Amino acid sequence: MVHNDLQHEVEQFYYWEAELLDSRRFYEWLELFTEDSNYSVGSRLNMGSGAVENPPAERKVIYHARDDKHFLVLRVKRLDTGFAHVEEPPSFTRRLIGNVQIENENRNDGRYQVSANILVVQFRDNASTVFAGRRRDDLRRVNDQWRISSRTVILDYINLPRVISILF
Amino acid sequence: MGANNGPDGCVDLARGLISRRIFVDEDVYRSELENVFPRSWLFLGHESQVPKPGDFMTTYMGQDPVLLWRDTKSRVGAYLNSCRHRGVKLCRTDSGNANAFSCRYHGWTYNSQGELTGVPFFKEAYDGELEREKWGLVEVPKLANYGGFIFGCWDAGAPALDDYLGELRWYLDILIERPLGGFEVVMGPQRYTINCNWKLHADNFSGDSYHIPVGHGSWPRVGLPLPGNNPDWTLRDTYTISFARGHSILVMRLKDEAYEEDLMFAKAAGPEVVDYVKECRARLAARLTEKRARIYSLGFGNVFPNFSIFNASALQPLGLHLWVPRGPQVSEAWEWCAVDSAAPPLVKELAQLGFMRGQSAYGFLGQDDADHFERLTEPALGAIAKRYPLNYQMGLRRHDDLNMEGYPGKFVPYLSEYGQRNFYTYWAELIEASTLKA
Repeated sequence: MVHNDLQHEVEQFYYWEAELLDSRRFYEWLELFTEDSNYSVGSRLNMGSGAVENPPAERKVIYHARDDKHFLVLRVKRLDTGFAHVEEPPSFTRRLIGNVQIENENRNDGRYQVSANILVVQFRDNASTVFAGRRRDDLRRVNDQWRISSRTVILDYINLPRVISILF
Repeated sequence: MGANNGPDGCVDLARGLISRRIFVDEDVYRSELENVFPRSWLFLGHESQVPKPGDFMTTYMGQDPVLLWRDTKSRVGAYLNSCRHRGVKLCRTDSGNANAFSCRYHGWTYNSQGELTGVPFFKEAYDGELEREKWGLVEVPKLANYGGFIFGCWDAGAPALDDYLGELRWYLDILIERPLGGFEVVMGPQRYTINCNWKLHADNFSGDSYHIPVGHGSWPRVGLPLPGNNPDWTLRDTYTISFARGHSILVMRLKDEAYEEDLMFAKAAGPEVVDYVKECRARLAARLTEKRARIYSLGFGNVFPNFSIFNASALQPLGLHLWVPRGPQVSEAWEWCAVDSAAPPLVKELAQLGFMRGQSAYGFLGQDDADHFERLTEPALGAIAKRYPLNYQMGLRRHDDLNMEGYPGKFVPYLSEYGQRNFYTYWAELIEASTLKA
C-alpha cells in the first residue's frame, strides 16, 4: 500500500507538469527533466496472438522518439524557430493524468518508478485528436523537488491519427 | 512533354499548370485505383522482413490489402489479403510466421502457397462439389526481387521490373551494393494518417528540393546539419535526375561529396565509424565503376507511383516510405527503417535515431511535410480555388539541355520542378490511356 502522502505528492507533481505543457511553458517543463534523462514515445504494432508465434516484446512497439535531454531540448527550441509549421498556429492541448501507480515506494534512495495513464486531446484547426497511452517514469527527488530521469510513453495506436507535434 | 493531359485536361505540363482537382476529386482517385496502381510495379517489402519459410507481412498495393508470404518451400508469394468466400480480411496482423491462415468468419483455410486447403463442412455444406482448386487466394501475378526489394504488379502484361525501373537501376545499384552485409529492416511499419492525397508525398519526393529551406526551416535553425552543409541551399553541382515512367531521385551529387560528408561525421563519432565508411566506399569501388562509386549515396527519390526512398549516406537510415492511398483526401504513411546488417552497432543506433528524428511521424521533417500537404488540401476544396491551377513552372524553359556525359537519366539543377512534371507526365499517360480504353 502506497503511503497517502507520497501518492498525493506524485499526483500533484503530475498535475503541475500537465499544466506546464497545456499552457506551453515548455522551458519550465524541460527543467523537470534531469540532465541525464531520456524521453521515449512509441506506438504499437499489430502482432496478434494465437496461431502466430508469440512475438518478442520489442516487436510489439515501434518508437517514434528515443531522445536524450539534448534532443528533447531541440524539440522545444524547434517550436521557437517560427518554422515548426505544424505548430503554427500552436495547437491547444488538454491532458488528464490518472491511474497513477507508484512502484517500489519503500526505497529510501529517493527514486521511484511510476506508471500512469495519459489522455491528451489536441485541438488544431477545428479538428481534435485523442492520444491515449501508458506512461512510465523514473522519478527522483532532487533537493526536495521531483525530477524525471526517464520517461517512456506507449500510445495505444497502431495507425497514428496524425503526426505527433506535441510533447507527452 | 505533352499538353492537356489527364482527366479533363487538368494536367497541362507544357505550361506547367496542374489543377487542384487531382488532389481532391473522387473520380480522379477512382481512376488511379483502376489504372495507375494495377499497372505499376509496387513496392511490397524487403526480403529481410520475410527471411524464413512461413514468414509473412501485410501491406497494401494501392488500396488493396496484400499478404506477402514465404511458403514452406521458401518461395515468396503475394496474395490479396481477402478470403475468397465473403472477402473478409484474412491476415489481421503486421507480420509473423504461419503455415496457414483460416478466415475468422466461416473458416476457409489457405496454406502458404495460397491454396484453399480447408472448407468447414465441405461434404455437408457443398455436397463435396466446391472446386477448391479454383478458390485459392488471388495471387499477384508478377513478383520480382531487385537487390532485396520485392515488388509486385497486377498486370500480367506489364514489362519486367528491370525495364520498369529502367535507367534508375544504374543509381539504385549504388544503394544496394554499398551495405557490407545487405540491408535489414529494423523498424516499422510506422504508420500515420495525413489528410491529403497520396500524390502529394510522391510529388514531394519526385523533385521538390525547393521546399527544404523554408518548409524544413526549423532543421538548420536548431543547429542540425543539412546535406551539403550549405546554409543558403542554392547548391551547385546538386541535381535532380528523372527517368522514364515517372521515377526521380534528387539531392544527387556525383563527386564524392556525400562520402566526404560521411567521413566528416564519422570522425566525430570515432575510428570504428571512420573504418566503416571507408569500407563501404571500398566495397562500391570493387563492385561498380569508379564513376558510380563516387556518387556513393542516393539522396531522396520516388519510384513511381508511391514508393519513396530516403538515404542521404551510409550513416543515415535507409527510410522506406510507402504512401498508401486511403481516399481522394486521405493517405497513410507506412515507413520502415533499414540499416546495413553488418554496420557497427553505433552506426545502426545513429541510423535509427536519424529515422525517428527526420522523415517520420515525430521527426522534424515528417511533421512539417504532413502539415504542408494538409494545408494544400483544404483550400483545394473550394469552388473558386478550383478555377486556379497550381504552378509547376520552375525550370520549365531553362535547363532542358543539361548534358551529363556518361550518366543515365535526365539531369536538372537542384532548383527545378522537372521531377514533378516527369511524375505527372507518366501519371497522365496512365489515366489518359484508360480514358481512351473506356
